[in-house]
Parts: sequence; C-alpha cells; structure tokens
Amino acid sequence: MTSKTVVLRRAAPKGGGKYDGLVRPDGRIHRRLFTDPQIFEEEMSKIFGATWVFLAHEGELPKPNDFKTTTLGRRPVIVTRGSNGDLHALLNRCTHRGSLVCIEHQGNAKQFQCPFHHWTFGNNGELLGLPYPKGQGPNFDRKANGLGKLPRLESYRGYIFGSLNPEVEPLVEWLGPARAILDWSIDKEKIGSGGVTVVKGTHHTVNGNWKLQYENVSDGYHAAFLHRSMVEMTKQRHGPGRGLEHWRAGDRSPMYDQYLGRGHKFMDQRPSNPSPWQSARPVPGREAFSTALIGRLGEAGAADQLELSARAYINLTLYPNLFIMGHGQYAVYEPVAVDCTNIKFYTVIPDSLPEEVKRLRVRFVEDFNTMGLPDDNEALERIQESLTTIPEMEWLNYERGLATEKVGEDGVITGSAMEETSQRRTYSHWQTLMNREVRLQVA
Amino acid sequence: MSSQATEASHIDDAVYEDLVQWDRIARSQEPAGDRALSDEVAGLLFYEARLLDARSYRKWLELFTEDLVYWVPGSRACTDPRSESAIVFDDRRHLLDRIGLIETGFLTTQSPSSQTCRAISNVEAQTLPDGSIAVHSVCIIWEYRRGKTNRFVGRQTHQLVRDGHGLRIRRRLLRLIDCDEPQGNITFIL
Repeated sequence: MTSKTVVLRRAAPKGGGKYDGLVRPDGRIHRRLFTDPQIFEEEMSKIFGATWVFLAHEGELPKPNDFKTTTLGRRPVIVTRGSNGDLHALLNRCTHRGSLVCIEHQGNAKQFQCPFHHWTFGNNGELLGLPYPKGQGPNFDRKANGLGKLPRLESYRGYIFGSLNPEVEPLVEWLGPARAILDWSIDKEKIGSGGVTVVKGTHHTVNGNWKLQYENVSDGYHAAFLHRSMVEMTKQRHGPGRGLEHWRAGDRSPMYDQYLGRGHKFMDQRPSNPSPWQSARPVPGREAFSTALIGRLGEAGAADQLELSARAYINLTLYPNLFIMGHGQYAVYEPVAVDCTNIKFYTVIPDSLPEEVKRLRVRFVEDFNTMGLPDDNEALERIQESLTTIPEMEWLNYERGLATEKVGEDGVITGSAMEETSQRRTYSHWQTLMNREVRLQVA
Repeated sequence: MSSQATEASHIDDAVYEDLVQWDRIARSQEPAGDRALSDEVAGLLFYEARLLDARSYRKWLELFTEDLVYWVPGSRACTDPRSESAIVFDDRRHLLDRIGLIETGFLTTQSPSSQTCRAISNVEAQTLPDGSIAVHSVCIIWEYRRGKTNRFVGRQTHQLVRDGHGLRIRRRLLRLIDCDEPQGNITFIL
C-alpha cells in the first residue's frame, strides 16, 4: 500500500520542474498541454515510452507465430508470439536502412522480411539472413543487428504492456489498486479452460489531443447534457431506465469516481446499474438470442450470462492509453499528433461464453459507439479548436470537487461522479512524469 | 413505447446465415449484366440517394421491407456480422433509433447537419434463384460539415424484393474502401 502513497506525494508540485507552471494547485490546467507540438513530442518519450503502455491483448495473438502491429506512442511496434509461445515486442524498423518490415495489421508469420534489401528477421527479432553478407565487412555482428526490442514486456491476465524504460516498476505494482477492479471484471466472465479471442470493435479518429480522450471517460458531469439526444430518444422509444438515463440523477447519484494513483482512474457506474442487461438499450438480436439462451439454461441460468453481454459499467482507465469497460470491452488511445487521436475498441470473447452472449456483445459495442460516442468526439474537437486558436485564454477549469478532495488511507481519492478530481489528479501525475528525466533504451 | 412489440428485432442466426450468403454475393466475380433490369432498378437506387442527401430519413425508410438489414462492415476481411463489430449494423428498430436521435434536435454531431451529395454508378443487377434481385453499385459520398469536406467511397450490394408496393430494399451492404481505418463522425446515414 505504501507505493500508492508515494505516487500521490510525487504528484504534488515541488517547484523547479520544467512543467510546474502549467498544472496549478487550484485545478487550472494550461491550454499548451493540448496544443503544443513540442510538449506532445516530449510526452511520446516521457509518458509513452518511460511508463507501461498497453500494446495488445493476448487474445489477438492466440497461436504460435501470430503477430499484431500497434504503436508505442507513435513508434510502430510488432507484438509477436514466437514459435515457442513467448511474447516479443519489436520495433518495426529494419536495422539496415530503416524501412518498416511489416505493414499488415495482424497475421501469422515466422519471419519478417524488409522489402528494400531483403534482410530477414525471425519473429523474436533475431537477424536470420541478408543477401551477400560479406559486403558488410569482416566485423559484422549478426546478433547486434536484430530488430530493436522493448526492454520490458509483461502481460497481466492477457493484457500486454511494454516499456522502453528498463527501470520501470513491475507491472502489478504499477497497476496498484486498479488490479482488483480488473480482476473483478475478468473473474466475472468465468473464463473456462479454453482461450479467448479478441475481435475488432469500432475504431474512431478524432481531431483532439489524446489527454482529452483519456480524461473524458471519467467525466460524469457531461453525460446527461452532451448525450441529451440519446437520453431523450431512448426514453421516448424504449421507456424509462435504459441507456444513459441514470446520469440524470446528477449530484444525487450513488455512482462514484476514484483516483487510483499513477494516473489511473475508476468511474463506478455499477451502483446505478444493478443489471446491465435490464438497463441496456435494445440491440439487434436481443429477443432471439435471449430467448434461445433462456430456453437452453432456464431463466435463472441465463440471467447471469446475459448480464455479460453489455458493458459492465466500470470505467477503468490505465494511464496513458487503456480504457476498460468490463465484460471484455476495452479501448486503446493512440496518439497520432498533438491534435489527433485514434480510439480503437476491441472485445475479448472467451471461448466459454455462450454463443448467444457472443452475438449480443459485438452489437452492444456498436450501440453506444455509433450513437453516443460521436457526441464526445465532437465536443473534444470543439475544445481542440478553441484552445489552439485563442492563446489569450490560457487556463481550463478542473476545480469541481477540489474543496472536498480527501486522500484515503490507501492513497485512493474517492469523490462524486460529478466531480473532476480524478481528471485533475491525472494532470498532477502528468506534471510529475514530464518533469522527470528518463533514459529510454532499445534492447 | 407502444411501438415496441411491432419493432422487435428480427435478427437471429438464420438472418446472420443469410447475411453471410449476401456478403458472398457482394464479393461475386461473376458477370451480373442484366442491362434491362439494371436500368429498371437503378432508378430506385438514385431515388434512395436523393432521399438520403435530403436527410428525408422517414421517407427513405419506406423504401425498405420490415425485415431490413443495413450493414456497413468494419473491415475488408469480415464475412459474417457475428464475428466483429461493424461501422453500422442496423435492423429497423436500431435504424429508427438512429433517425430518432437526429430528430430530437439535440444531436451535436448533426447540428449543423451534414450536407451530402452522393453518386451511385456502375449499377449491375441480376435476378437470383429465389426471385429477389442483387444490385451491385459504386457509392461515392461527399460530405460537408463545419468547414470540412469528407469523402466516403465504397461498393454496395442491395437486395431488392417485389411485394405489393413494387420494389423494396431488403438488404443494403456497403463496404467502404477504407473500412479498416478509424472513422470520423458518421452520424448522418451513409
């Protein structure tokens, strides 16, 4: 538990740091965090490099020699499963003259061959061969010319994280209190002896800084207002108690939001959604697949399984790029430029999940993401536009909850879901990371 | 609420199997050159395009059968809507939700609304053994909103059936050329 306290103590501004002036103790955050290309470049090392960054889920590479291309910040990375099942994270850059060696999204390959001069690498990064090797001279060291590798790579129950910081703390320490919430979500699925596969959810691109995405899923304050169209349409067409209607309780809501340390946050909507299945909006196939499941397992047996089809109403965010909704749904934030971010949703499907629930799960991802998420993205694009163009107005206001903020004994800060505390605290953590000098290293 | 019963989703595994077949037809490389039929059905596709450009969604929906499916897959590789999430996968109820969202007047992503102009071309129709009609076409949509112009390009395959009202659309499968890539604001109907 001491590690949590350490993180929070570090988060307090100390003075003298390069970025001290941009995150103020009164909850004001400077516009430059979202608009300055130099800051963005530095974030790509100090945050998307020096800390643990989510890369892929093991369910995306279930078989030996499976691979997936992704990014660590902006760096192209190939995550591979070697022929012996080991995981590797390779920098997607030929060690000869620098070409990308793989441009597929995913696949199965024992080797990657650079198209330029056909240098060929194994899926563990090792240089296997090159044409006319004598020309490299007598001292050519094949071992030293393998693909660059991330020095640290760890998987926590299928979620694979990597870092370019050889001294980064162990993954479970970094997870801290987030670990128990992630465990709850995974254990609830009762994943059987079979494996899991991960399928594509919806993928979006937004003209806004990555931090706006990261903070937004902990912003309960906007839900009833920005998503008014969805709330009203759902009530009109499908009756009360569905979709986002629970956000209308506002300050009276039993939902809460937590800052967990190290930039991680947890918005718990479960207190207002005892049954995700009952409060979910109707999706295509709802009737047929629930009826079939009840026919097979009986009312009681089917009930628990159906709950797993919709999101679990936990918004767990692991800094800087992973958003876990529970029941297999997660999203990855991919920084493209200071003013552009991709958001990629995926769905973990355990083999042991009833077929009917699998059918419903992929439809639930589409439901909010095509009818509610665009509202968020529009708002964040409007923020980006004004922050970029009005330098005279420097500060953003994140003060909600500041007056009542109290750090718990375990280092966790718990507040109302209408407050901005976890978002504000994330920026203190941002400041700590950005003030730090780091040495990144390719293995 | 009163309309809930009539709006119940018709999607089940039989419909999904049918859509797997429909995807296969959409990918067909066989000639589909019934010119007279193509000319006849092209009029319906052009009319559909005009209604969508006018955002006359209720009238557009009248072109469809009750058991409609409107599917915009999220990848080139996807051959079965059960296997992954889509850019859009709607039955009538979900499509009415989508239209209802716009009609509340509070949808920020459609205020101002998207101005679109779409071209439908390369229309090739053929009658299938079950009497329905498969229509392949190219769909090119230019969309303007808030200072930006976007383009959406894809091939689409409609299934048309004849009923008491003449030709109706039963399936519309639209595969964008860049469906594998992250997408922007698609809150108008493609």
